Amino acid sequence: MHALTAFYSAHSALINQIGVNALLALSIWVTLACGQLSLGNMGFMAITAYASVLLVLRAHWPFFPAVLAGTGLAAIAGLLLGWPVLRLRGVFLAIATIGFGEIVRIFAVNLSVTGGAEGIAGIPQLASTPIIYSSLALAVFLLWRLTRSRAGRAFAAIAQDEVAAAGLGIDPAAYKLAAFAIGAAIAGYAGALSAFSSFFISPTDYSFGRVVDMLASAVVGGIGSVGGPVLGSILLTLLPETLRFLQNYRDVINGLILLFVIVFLPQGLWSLVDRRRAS
Amino acid sequence: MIALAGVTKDYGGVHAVKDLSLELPDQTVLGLIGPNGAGKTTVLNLMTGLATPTSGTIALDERRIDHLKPHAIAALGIARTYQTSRLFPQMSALENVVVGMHLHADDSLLGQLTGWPPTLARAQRLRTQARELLGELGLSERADALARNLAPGEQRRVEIARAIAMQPRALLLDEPAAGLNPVETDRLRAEILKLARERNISVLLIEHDMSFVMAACERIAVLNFGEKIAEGTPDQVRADPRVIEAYLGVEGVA
Repeated sequence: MHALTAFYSAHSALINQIGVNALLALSIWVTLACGQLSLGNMGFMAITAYASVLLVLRAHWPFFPAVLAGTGLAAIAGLLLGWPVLRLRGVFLAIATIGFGEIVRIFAVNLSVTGGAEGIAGIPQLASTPIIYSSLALAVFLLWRLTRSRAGRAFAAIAQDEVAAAGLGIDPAAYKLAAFAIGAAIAGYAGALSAFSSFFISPTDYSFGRVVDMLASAVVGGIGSVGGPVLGSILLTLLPETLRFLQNYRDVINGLILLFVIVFLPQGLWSLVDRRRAS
Repeated sequence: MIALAGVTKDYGGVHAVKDLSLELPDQTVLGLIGPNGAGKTTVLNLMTGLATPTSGTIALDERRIDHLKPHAIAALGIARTYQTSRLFPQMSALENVVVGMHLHADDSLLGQLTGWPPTLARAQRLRTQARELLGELGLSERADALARNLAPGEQRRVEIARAIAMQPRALLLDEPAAGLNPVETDRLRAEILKLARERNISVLLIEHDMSFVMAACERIAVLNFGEKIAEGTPDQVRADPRVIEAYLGVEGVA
């Protein structure tokens, strides 16, 4: 027991980070499950993070109401972004959504309420490990149930053949917007948890590299099922830490391992767990 | 009844379909034939909202449908299949048919999210119905195979099962017998006619296989260069000189 608590106190930051990254990977997975490569999730993270931190620090709101209000704001932003980009596909959608993320970051740099480039410091550590992991468990459970529902079947149908899906009475626009809003809400919520488990936030936390990490986690883990992004996040967060002994070669080996996973397990790590679909 | 009245579709100056009037009454099997490039698939695309007429109207009973989106037209009860398979490749045959039940699926989202037992029972019932439908098309043993791993003939039948699962009023089939051997073709024809009769579905059949069309259809319309050149019973159409000319060319010319 003592060893366990010692382990936790030494690694709690990393443990929290895995949970947050898993939520972020799930946020990008939701839109992928509906066939959309949306790469603006760092923008939704920033919206909820700044909104909830400001509500707690300036307006003295309690933690959960502040986070939920910020999450609602991200979902609305998701709908507002989703509407004009409905007609875009593939790389065009990706570029438009990256643009959105950059716009949010530039606002954060230039507004005084967000503390500009220096960000906001002195954030209380309110997102504990139990809160992060119970949130993750709930998100995994709900998304897993979603994939088995009528809406989840519609998501998969749109992802695999939008024309055929519409021919069966599925309204692609409605489901894509729903996927956008859900993805934005999860990204935002994770952004708030991340903010409340570090001491300060600044615009550099929400740069393009952030969404690349999310996408890599989802793809390496496997986008065929809800377990994939979680597994991918664990690997992508732990790998750089366990490779510390390689010193300067760390990033090279890290990149090579990911390359091998993609080449030899194109369906992602999850295909090792779930062999049903592997062949 | 679906009625096209004076429908024209231009693609940059080319008349893909020109001033076409065509009626598909309830519970009938109508054939639509014509040489390659005659505009048959364009007619299907116009009827299902994938293309919008340049002029003219398309109505389901009294209701105009020519400016509705594809999913809205599907919701009114018009189902179709495609010339090349448009099954969802990563889903099993069974899952494809369950997606076809989208408009009638009664497993609520809240029930699914909470794992509410009556909802799960309803979802299970959908799967049972889908399995039965695949059984009617002789696909019981292939129900759990991924769509992309099915043989072309099997894919064709799953696509028909998926369309029937919509419980449509009208089913538009785009060359269902393409690439099938004569034995498979005969079997498919019998299955389509049986399913349509049992469920009171009208069928519009685009087909190149003449024996298939002649045997399956009560009426046949013939398109050539986007225009309807003949319509009538199979015997009338077979004897029509303009049809023979369109298919075989005119003797002494060229």
